[in-house]
Amino acid sequence: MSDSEHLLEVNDLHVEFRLRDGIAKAINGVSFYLDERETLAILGESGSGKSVTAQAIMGILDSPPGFVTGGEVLFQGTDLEKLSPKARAKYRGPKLSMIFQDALSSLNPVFPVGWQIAEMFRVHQHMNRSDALAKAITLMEKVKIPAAKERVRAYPHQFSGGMRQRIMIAMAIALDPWLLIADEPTTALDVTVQAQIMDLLKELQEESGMGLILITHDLGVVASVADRIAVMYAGRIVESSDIRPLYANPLHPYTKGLLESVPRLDQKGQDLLAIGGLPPNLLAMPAGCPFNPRCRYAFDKCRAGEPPASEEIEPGRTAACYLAGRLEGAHA
Amino acid sequence: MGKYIIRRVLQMIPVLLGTTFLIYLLVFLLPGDPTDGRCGQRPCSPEYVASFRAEYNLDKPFIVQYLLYLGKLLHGDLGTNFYGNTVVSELAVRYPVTLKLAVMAIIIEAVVGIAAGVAAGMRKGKFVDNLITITTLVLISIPVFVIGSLAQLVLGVKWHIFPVTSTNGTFDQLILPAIVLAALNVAYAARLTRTSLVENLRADYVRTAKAKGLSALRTVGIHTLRNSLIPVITYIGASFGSLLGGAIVTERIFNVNGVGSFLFRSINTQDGVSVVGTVVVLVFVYLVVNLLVDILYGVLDPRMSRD
Amino acid sequence: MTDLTDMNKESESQARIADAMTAPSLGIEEPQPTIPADALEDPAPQPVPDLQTVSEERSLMQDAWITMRSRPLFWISAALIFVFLLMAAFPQLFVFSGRTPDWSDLDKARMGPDSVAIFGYDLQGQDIYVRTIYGARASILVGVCTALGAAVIGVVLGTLGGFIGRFLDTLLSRTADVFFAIPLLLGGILIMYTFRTTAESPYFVVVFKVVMALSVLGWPNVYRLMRSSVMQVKPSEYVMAAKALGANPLRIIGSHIIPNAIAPVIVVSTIDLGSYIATEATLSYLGIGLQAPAISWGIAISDASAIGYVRNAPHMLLFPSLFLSLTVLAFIMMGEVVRDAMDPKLR
Repeated sequence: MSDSEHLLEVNDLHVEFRLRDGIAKAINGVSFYLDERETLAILGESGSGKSVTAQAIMGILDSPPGFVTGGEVLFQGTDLEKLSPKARAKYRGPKLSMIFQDALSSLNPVFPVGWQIAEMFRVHQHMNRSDALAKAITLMEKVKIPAAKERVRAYPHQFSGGMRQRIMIAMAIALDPWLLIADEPTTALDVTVQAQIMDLLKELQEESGMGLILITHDLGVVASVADRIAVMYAGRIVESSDIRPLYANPLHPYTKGLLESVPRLDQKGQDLLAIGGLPPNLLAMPAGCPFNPRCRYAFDKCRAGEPPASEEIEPGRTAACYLAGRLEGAHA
Repeated sequence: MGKYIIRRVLQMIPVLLGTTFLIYLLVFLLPGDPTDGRCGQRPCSPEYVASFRAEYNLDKPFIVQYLLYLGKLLHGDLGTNFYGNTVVSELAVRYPVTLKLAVMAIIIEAVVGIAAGVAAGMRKGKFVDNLITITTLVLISIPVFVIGSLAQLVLGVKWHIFPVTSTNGTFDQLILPAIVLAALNVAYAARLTRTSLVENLRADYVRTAKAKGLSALRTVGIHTLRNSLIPVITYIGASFGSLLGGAIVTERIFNVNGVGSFLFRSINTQDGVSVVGTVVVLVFVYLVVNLLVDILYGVLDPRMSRD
Repeated sequence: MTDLTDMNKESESQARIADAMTAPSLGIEEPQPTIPADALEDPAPQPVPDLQTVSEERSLMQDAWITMRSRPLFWISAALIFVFLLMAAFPQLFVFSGRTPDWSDLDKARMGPDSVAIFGYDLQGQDIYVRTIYGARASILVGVCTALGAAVIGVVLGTLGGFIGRFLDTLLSRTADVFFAIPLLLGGILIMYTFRTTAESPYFVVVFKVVMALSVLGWPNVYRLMRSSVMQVKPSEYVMAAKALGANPLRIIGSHIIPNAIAPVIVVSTIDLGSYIATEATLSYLGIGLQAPAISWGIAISDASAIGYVRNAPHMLLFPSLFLSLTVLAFIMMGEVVRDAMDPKLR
């Protein structure tokens, strides 16, 4: 791996879903990179394509109906898209792994949690049953599950939400992966538990130096843990930025809208504005910029032709908007 | 687990009481003389009427009658028919062959049903799936006695693949009746397997299994199948009831000398005591099997036996 | 303390965003192969949440209809059901030879098909085609009446149990358990044996007995469905609203609860109808349902299925069997097509 190489580099990724009612273009030319020890947050509403992006990187899209129709996913310089399904499956677990939003449904209900963690060692390292189970207990202790030894034979439904997510994490980090994708890991949890899980992820990342992709719709979670952020809308990255400047000065109207809809501690008595309207139907995308029907800055150019291309506005910051960087002056 | 089993057993008691009560009500509380039509075509002899009235305490108040009847049932006394044979002894001679037939049918149902269901579910929307779906629909629509007669005609009489009748109840004679008896339930088991598999293939834990880097074979064969088969296995257990009903028809067609043909013959000779006794036993067996299935369900699905 | 309130505030707004985000767009995160048809026609945002339940209901039915009419199985079963209903009501429409079901010529007994009797002749030299056509009436009559009977008992009791709850619900549910525990055929045998019929019993009396027997055994299916539908609908907003407005309970049941819960009942009743027909035929086959001189497919099959006849005159078995199976098939198929159309998840 040369110095110039990123841990993960996604270039011009396209994904579509071939449905009975037509083709839904879920991902339309997404590009980003991630280095070791780095945390990238991918932010967006449901339907924006953030989870699809994650599943495409992992190679676990439901296919059919989902198909990767273009682009490359370079992991340590290897294009995963060019690998055979079998070779790619070998990457999942030891090199990249993923945790999901709903740990209860994501864990198999009929196997004990210890068995499910141990399966990683049994399948990938051909370890024997008792050694693998011992490793599973160690992992459960590592993710701070109390009385791990006693609970290793318990079933997922016998744990609390936070504990279940810890079990998912234990399973995901079992083989020391280089990259962990966390798809809304805390959405289903109580606020206090959310913070504990995020702390745990941070701690594990510092210990192992893995890269972390955090998929979320929650700006609050992002601020505390991410180094960089990519905002997705309708299958595109509309803004990509280091974390600090994004909060201070959003470049894209959509990002601005998201920030305005969250109460902030540093501003008293501000009005909270929800973004009006709904995300576009992926089967009937509006012409021009996909955000234009909901955008208060939209003008004629936004409503016709191709969507605006992503351009570098400041060093390390890109946005796909004709008005990027000039939002304060423009008014609807 | 222990609590779960106890709860299930306790839940079954009122159903059992209700069922026997209902049957008793039906048979003994009707207008007219209960001995009417219990002795075949002839009127009952006065001795039989007297012994019958005494046996069922017909001179006592109704609720006492029922309780005494229930007591007899608990002692395994199903009554004596007008030939002077106890129903229990009649059934004792015949149940082994019916049991053999039912077990063979259950095995066929499980093996063929699950295999067909998995084949269809794995290739959802493809040719195999459509073929199996339509075949099962047709099988479900053809009543057992039609399948039985046709199978006997084609496979037995015309092509000589199987013996035409099964009078001795040996294994080879029972194969065709068992297939016929299983046919309907094979279809249901296959469809249930398919639906359940298709549903489970979409489950979140399948995505997790993929994310863990497991092979497709392991994902489906271990993670999905284990979950999908829970309802199928319980269905197969519960289908025992319809097997018992079907056995009456199948045994008649293939001349199997089992509980089913005994019931059929009792119906035609108007041997009421035997009809009622046999039905009570069959319903009881059905309820017990259902209870066992419920317990099995608790074993298979750890979420169920949570106390 | 301040931290906590701030956190709560934050989580509230997060919940709000989450709500906005999970609004009914195309749920790509869990790709579903079907999208409501109106989502395609109307890309403009329609944020009128109050009307949503109503329009969702309507679009569900419309969607079901659109799915259904594109499926050949729907049209095949609809056509079959229509033909069999017509056959049951006006059998003479299907008989062109002028023969009645009682017509017989003993010289022709067990003879195969000829140019007049296209299905051949039975034991008494009667025209099997004519008798098969006239046999539809018994099956259809028993099937339809039983399905209706079971549905009426099930809907009434299910609504009462679900709506009133408490002791009545417990009582009804346990009673349903008892009836549910008796396999249809065994129960049918028991009841029909108890209320014995003879060859002299009038046709409609026998049919009525079979219908009663099977309805009494079949209602728990509908009851359970209806009860759970009512329990689901009961806490919904429009029922609450109707209650708050002081509508009387009967009115709420009639105008709000039943219309919403009835669709699955129709589906299950249609499927069950098929099995009632099969059970009636089985009872007749066993000799305790309809009896000659009544005309029924079950009796015809029973007569034809003695070994000697199966060997020498298989046509006697074949045609009534075919008609019986097609009828059962038509109803089961129809029920399943409708069910699938209303539950896109299964597709």
